[in-house]
Amino acid sequence: MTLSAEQKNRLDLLLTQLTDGALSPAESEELGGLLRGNAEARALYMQSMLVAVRTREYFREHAAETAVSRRQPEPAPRAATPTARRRGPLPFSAHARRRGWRVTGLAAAVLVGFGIVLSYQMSRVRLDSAAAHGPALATLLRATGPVRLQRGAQIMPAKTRAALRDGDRILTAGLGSSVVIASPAIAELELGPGAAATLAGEPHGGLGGVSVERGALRAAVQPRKGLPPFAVSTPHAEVVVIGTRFSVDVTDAATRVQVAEGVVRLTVRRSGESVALSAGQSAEAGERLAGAARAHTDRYGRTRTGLVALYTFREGRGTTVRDTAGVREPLDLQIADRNAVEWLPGGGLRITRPTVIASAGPARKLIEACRTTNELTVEAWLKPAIADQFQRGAVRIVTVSSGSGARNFTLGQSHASYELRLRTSETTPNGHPSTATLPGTLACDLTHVVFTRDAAGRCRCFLNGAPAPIASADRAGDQRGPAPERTVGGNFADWDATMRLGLANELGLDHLGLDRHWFGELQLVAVYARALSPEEVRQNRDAGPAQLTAARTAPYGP
Amino acid sequence: MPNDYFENEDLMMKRAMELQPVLMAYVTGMVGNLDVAEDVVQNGLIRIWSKREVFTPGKSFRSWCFEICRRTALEWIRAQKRAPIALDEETISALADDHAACEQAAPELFSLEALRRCLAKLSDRTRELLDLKYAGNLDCGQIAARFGRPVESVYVTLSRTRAQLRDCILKQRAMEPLQ
Repeated sequence: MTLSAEQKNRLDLLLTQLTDGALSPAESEELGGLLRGNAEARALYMQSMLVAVRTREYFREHAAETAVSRRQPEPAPRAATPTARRRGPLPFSAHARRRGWRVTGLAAAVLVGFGIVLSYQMSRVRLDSAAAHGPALATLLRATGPVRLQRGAQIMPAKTRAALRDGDRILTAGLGSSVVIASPAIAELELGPGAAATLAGEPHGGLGGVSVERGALRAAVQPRKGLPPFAVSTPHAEVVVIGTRFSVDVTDAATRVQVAEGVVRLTVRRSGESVALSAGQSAEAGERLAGAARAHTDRYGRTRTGLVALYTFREGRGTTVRDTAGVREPLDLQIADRNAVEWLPGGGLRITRPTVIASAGPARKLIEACRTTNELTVEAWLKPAIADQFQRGAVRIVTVSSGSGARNFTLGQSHASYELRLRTSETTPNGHPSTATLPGTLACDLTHVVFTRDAAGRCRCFLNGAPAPIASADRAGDQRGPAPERTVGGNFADWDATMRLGLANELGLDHLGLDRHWFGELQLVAVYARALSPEEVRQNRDAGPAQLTAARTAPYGP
Repeated sequence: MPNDYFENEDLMMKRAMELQPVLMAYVTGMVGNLDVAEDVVQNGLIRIWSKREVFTPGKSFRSWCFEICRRTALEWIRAQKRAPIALDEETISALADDHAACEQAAPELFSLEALRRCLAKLSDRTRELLDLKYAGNLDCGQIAARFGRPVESVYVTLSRTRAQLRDCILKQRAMEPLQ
C-alpha cells in the first residue's frame, strides 16, 4: 500500500517528535500502526532515522565551526543530556588541519631541549598507575565500534563524552574499531584497531602522556609553551614531543614512528640509541634503531623520504611483483593472469590482456602513512599501449580501491589524459571531482607521470619532470582550467583501511560486470606519503626507470 | 534473507560497524533518544564483539546484530524503570524483520558526504536550527523559545527538513556519475 503525501508528512512529523522524546502514548500508537501495517512507512522510518543519525554526527563533528550561532544567550540545556561536546574540539584530522601548526621552525630549539627534558620526562609520567583516579585528563570524543575502558579492576564500555582519568586504559577491538581522545589545548589522540593504551597525567594536572602497549596511535600535540614535553611510551621506545603531528605503530617486535609535522625524539629502550625525527621522516625501534639513518636518496638518486611502496618490475618471471621500498612489511602484488602479461628484458611488465595485479590484503602501510600526513605522491614510468583508453570511466593504472565506485586514490587514463581521483573529506568516496591533465596530453611513449597532493590540498601533475597543466572535472563532467595546480581540500581521515593496492585494472567489477583494464607497459610505480617537490620530481625523472640506470641483476633498493 | 560467512573476525566486526548507523536508527525507535541510542549501540557492539565466536555462519549477520542491540535496549529500558518505550515490541519486531526497509537505508547510501552536499542546499536559518538541535543538544521546546516560535512549528520545520535531506540524498544517488 502506497502512503499518501499527507500520511508521509504525518509520519515525518511523528518521527521528529520520537527523536525528541516527545511522543505521547496516542501518537506512539498511531506511529506504531503506520509502521506495522505499511512497508513503505518502515522504509521511510529507517531512512529518516538514518538521516537524523547522520545529521547529528555531521553537526557534532563540525561543532566548532558552527558554534557562532550558539553563542547567543540560550536556555539551559537539558540536564539529562551532556553538553560537553557543544564547543568541544573537532575530530582529530579536521582539528589538526585547522590549527595550522607550524612548529618546524622551532626544531633547532626543540632539539637542544630534548636532552634535558628526556630524563625528567621519563620519571615524571606515571604510566603504570592503573588505579589512580584523579581529575579528568581528557574526553573520549568518539568511539567507533567496540571500545572498552578499564579503570582499575573495572572494565566497561567506553562511551562518547566519557571523562578519562590518570591510569585509564583504553582497548579497541579488531578491524575498524577506533577511538578519539581529546584533551583541549594539549593533544588529540586516535587509537586504531586492536590497540591498548593507558593515559598518564602530569603533576600540575592535564594529560602528560600515553603508554601504548599495542596498535597504532595518531597524535596531534599542541605546542607545549613551557610545559614539559608530551611523552609516548611503548614496550620498545620512548617518544618525546614538543608539539607536532605524528603516528606510532606498536607491534610485538617493534615500534614505528612517523612524523608528519614538527620534530620528535625517539629513544630505543634496549640499546639507548636516540634520534630526532622531523617532518616526513620515520624510524623503527626494536632491539635497535632502524630506518632513520637511511639516506634520503637511494643509489640511483631517487628520493626516499616518505617513500612507502616501490615496484620496479625487475623480477623477469613468475606472478609476483615485489615491493622493494624497504619500508615496513613489503606490499607484494600478484598477477591474476600470467598469460595476460609479458616480462620485459631488463625490467618492466607489459600488460596485453585484461588482468589485475594486486596485493593480497589491504595496503595498510600505505593507507596509514598517507592518513597521517594527508599527503600523497603517485609516480609511474609507463608506456600506454593505446592513447585513447576508456571504459565507462577512466581505466586504472595504479589504484587503492574496492570497486568501481569506492577508492582512496587512483591514477588512471581517461581517453588521452591522465587523471587522479583522490578521496578526501571534501570529495566523494569515488574521488570526484578528479584532477586530470588536459585532453591530448597523453602519448604512447615511455613517460614519467607524477601526481602530488600536499596537506594544504594543492594538487599538481608532472609529465617527464615538467609541470603539466591540469583541468578539473566537476560532478557533471564539466571541464575547468587549464591551471598549473588545483586545490583538492579536506583530509584523508575517511580513507578505507581495508582497500588493496592494484595495478592495471580496478579491483572488482562494476554493477554491469565490467572492469577498467589498462593496456601498456609499467617500468616503475612508486607511492609516497608526501608531496614531492618539483625538484624531487625532476630528480626522480633524471634517475630514470630502474632498467635504464641499474645493473640488471642488482636488487633495487636503498 | 542473506546468508553471511566471514573469512575472519576482522571482517565480521567491520560489517558490524558498517551497520552501526542503522542499528542506531533502529534502537532510537525503542529508547526515543539519539544520545541514549548511541550508548546502547556501543554496548551492543561490545556484546557482538565478545560473542563473535557464537555467530553461526550461514545465518543473517544483520538480524543477529539487530537482536543483540534489541536486547541491550530492552535491558536499558528495564533499568530506567519509568522510561517509556517509544514504540511497542510488535512494531520494533516488524522493523527488525523488514529486510527490504533496511536495505533501502544502507549506511553507504546515507553517507556523511552525501549529507554534506544536501545540507549545502539548505538556508542558513535551517542550518542554524539543525545546529542547535544536534550540536547544541537543545530540544524543540528550547529551540522554539530561542526563535520565539510555537514548538509545533519547530517540529514541522525539522520534519520537513529531514524529509528534504532524505529525498535529496536519494535523488543524488540516482544521479551518480559514471564510474
